[in-house]
Amino acid sequence: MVEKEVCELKEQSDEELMTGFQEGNSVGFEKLVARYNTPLYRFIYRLLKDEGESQDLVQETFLRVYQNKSQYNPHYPFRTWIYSIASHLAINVLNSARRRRIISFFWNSSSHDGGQKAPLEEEVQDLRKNPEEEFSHRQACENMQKAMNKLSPRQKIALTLNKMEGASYKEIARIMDINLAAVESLIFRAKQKIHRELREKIQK
Amino acid sequence: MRTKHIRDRKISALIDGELSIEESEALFGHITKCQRCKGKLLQWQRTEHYLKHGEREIVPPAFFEQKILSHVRQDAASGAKDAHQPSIFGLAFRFATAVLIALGIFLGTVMGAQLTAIWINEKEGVDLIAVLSSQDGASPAISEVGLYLSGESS
Repeated sequence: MVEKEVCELKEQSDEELMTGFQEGNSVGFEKLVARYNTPLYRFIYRLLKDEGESQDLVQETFLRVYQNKSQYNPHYPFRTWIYSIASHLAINVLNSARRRRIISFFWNSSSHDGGQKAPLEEEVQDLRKNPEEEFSHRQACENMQKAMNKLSPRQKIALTLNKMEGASYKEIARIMDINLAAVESLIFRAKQKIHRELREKIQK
Repeated sequence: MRTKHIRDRKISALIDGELSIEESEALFGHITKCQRCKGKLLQWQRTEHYLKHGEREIVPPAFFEQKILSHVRQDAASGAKDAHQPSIFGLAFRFATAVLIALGIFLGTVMGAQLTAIWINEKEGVDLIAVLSSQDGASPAISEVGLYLSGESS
């Protein structure tokens, strides 16, 4: 039964499902929710670092897809369209001053209370051969997260799309509605900031 | 002759695989001979490593998919209902806004007070904050009036 469903999901492309949904087939929408709820949640959580707000934003993204289905052009990839909606919603949240205060509050408190909220990766075995290396790896991850929080919302979105979601520069240009040179510049400046922060911490 | 080292921007693009094969080969050719650029590349690769693997797996909460679908269906259903019936709260809100504006105009004209701030946030429900204060800031009659309404948006 499950196998059958998986096969069905594999059969139709996102664009076909969305076209079906535009024609009134709500199963298409359900399948798209099944495909995209996890990647979208991951993407938004990486930007906002807040579980509740990330859930709300993912729900809002799908609601926009549902409400604006007629605006989707099947000649363009669905992934680009849905990430574009999510990015615009996230940028609004990130841009608000209130949001920034909350993020900084959560990050400061999480780095003091053992990092319950900050998801520091602990699975890269080759960098953790002994406790000292493990400690320095954790430190580097923590520093990286702090550096990420210093990026502008647009830099953060471009970098997250590229590094964590595997989107190409071209795809990011479509998602963020900017040209390729602007994407390259956003990503490079973001990486440069993080690179410098990490180097400074190592030198200290 | 001074050696021309590779700029950070090029190294970053090289790691991202955004350069042509010819350009990448030329850069690698230089890196194998130049210790400084090799060191730079290793540092950038380290940054890249932490960027890609610096976070543990992020998983949405249980039954998230069902939650999304029920949220969307609920919203679609209430949207259809609202299209036929005007919301009572929506009407009350409009009425309260109109009264407040009229009050501000009245106070502004009669008592020299001024409406200093109105903030309406429709997305997260209906929040309305109005602060009325006197122009000289010292009038004991009405120095500050605050009104706050909150509820589900229609």
